Amino acid sequence: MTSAAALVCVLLLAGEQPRYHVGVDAVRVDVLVTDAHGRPVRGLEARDFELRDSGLPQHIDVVAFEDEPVRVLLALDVSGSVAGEPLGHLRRAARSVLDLLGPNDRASVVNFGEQVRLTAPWTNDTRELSGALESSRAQGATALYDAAFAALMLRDRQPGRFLVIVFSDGADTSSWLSARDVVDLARRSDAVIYTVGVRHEERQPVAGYRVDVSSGVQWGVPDASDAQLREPFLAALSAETGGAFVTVESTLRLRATFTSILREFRTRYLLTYSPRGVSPTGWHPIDVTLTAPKGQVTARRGYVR
Amino acid sequence: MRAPGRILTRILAAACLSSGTSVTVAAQSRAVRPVDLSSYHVLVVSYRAGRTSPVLEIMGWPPRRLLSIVDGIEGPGDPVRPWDTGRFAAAAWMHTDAALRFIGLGDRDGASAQLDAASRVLRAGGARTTPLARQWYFAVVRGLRDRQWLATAERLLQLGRERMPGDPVVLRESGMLAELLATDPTIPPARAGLADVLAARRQTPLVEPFTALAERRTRHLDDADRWLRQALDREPSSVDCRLHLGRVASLLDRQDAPALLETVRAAEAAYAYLADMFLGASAERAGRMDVAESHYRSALERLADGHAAYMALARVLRMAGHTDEARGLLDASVSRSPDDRREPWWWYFYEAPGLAAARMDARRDEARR
Repeated sequence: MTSAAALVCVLLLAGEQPRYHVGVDAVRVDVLVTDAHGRPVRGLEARDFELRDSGLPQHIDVVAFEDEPVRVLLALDVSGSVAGEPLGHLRRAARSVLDLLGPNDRASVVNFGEQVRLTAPWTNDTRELSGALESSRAQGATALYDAAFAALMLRDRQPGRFLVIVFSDGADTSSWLSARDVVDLARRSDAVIYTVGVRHEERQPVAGYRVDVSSGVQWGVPDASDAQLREPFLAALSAETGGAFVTVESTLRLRATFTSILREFRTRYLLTYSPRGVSPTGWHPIDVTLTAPKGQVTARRGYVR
Repeated sequence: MRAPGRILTRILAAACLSSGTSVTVAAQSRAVRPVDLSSYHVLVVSYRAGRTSPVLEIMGWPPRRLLSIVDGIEGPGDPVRPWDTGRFAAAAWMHTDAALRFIGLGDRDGASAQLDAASRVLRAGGARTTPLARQWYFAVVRGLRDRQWLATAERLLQLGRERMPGDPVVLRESGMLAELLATDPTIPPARAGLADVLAARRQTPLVEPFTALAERRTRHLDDADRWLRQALDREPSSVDCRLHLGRVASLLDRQDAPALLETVRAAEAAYAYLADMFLGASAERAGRMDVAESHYRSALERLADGHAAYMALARVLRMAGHTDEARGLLDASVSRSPDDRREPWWWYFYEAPGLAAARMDARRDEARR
């Protein structure tokens, strides 16, 4: 929750650009509330939420809903295993997200194989973003951890709600950084991370331990399926940040998945509070509930400062 | 001799794989040859002459019988003893090719039996085949690693250590493979570390595999340390061996790890870069972030495009609160990303594409001359 470090006020850029005055150490928590059918619940106010930081009830200063511009970073796996049709599906999915951006929203694209490339820096020029997507080629191994780390580090310098969509169809094979490094950084960020994987048939890969670095073809581990290697990281990353981990049966489903993620993100509430009575440092578990049983709450598990 | 059903299936599968014919046609067209030493000689001679049919035929021999025949090479019942080294080489590569075909069929047991046979053939030659055996183990292990058949490579190296004790190449390859199995990016220490994250989320079914992976990692690291030290004793000038041992020793917190890696810093840029990266990682584990930062900066001075060094340095700077500098570094790295970037870390465990296959082809060609 580093956004709070020097925050004197939260400046909301949308509409009339209202100013909300909160504490110096304000914490922002993105919250999704859904009903029994998984549909977003709208119209909630501060009094509808209860928030505990490290077990202590906190006063919620601000509840924002669709007020602040969105900053979407797409971190897309373009390793060798995505070559061919899947890359086309991935491009279309990414373009569909860009099509949904509002005038104040901005996006950026990071592609990764064994290299991590900033394909498109932060911009609201959708033509520039689309052009960057077309230039991506699928090759090499998979530096998933390095890419996720870079995605979190490269958040837009302009304020907004930070959404990261990470797509990967395989396990990490070439990162220098570890999964734990990334999860640790995610705990210190206010980004909401949605992760998207492709469901492979269990045990389909040939026996072995990792990826062919030249072709990008994936192999599983004899004692564990590919899914067991890949999904814990993607699931942990999204759970830590209050996002979701989605697996698709086929890359044909990526477009619908990506757009539903952005639509869902727009329906989230942004709670802001100034922590009281809690330690100024360390891990702070957060628990967000509703005062009345109006739906299910999804939020990050906590934050580190 | 009547081949068991499973063996017959192997013959037919191999034949169909090579020819594209149907199983029925293949079954009708294959004659049955006795499984004995004389027939074995015929196959070796035929293979040496460049034919591929001996490979398919040997795949159908029952493994136990095959190994017992191979153990009879140059024995009292061997009609063509003594063998020349070319014949040993041809026999070894015939079995190797059979193993590769089994790998293509996904048959690990079949592949292992053929590799065992090749290893026994080379052992039968004694001192005459030592250089040949050394080349063979190196080429085949690298080939298996290239194909991701690491468990098979592991078993082959076990045979190598039993049959060529103290051989520096076998020991070096054993150590490197054990290190890979311990620290491969898909099985990193941090993955085991993820267990606590998952445990906190009460996903206990996933914790057990991670615990098992962590235990396997420690076992492999101990093996790697032992074999690489033995190899370095016999090959003190090997920079590869020193670098890998330095990393393994640092992961095990051995006292001599920094000294080992320091000596590699004087080597050529790619080795020195990795030595700095490993020294940096070691310093990080010890909580000495300033030392880690210094090593990562040194690595970048050696290779300005070093992807891993950018990542590592950015992380350390971020942890130290220098967020803007960390971001600036990452920006610089990911905005540039040249197509021809050659990050030594990507090639630390694996060779350039095609190299292992080309090496095997060259050795096979030599054996068939």
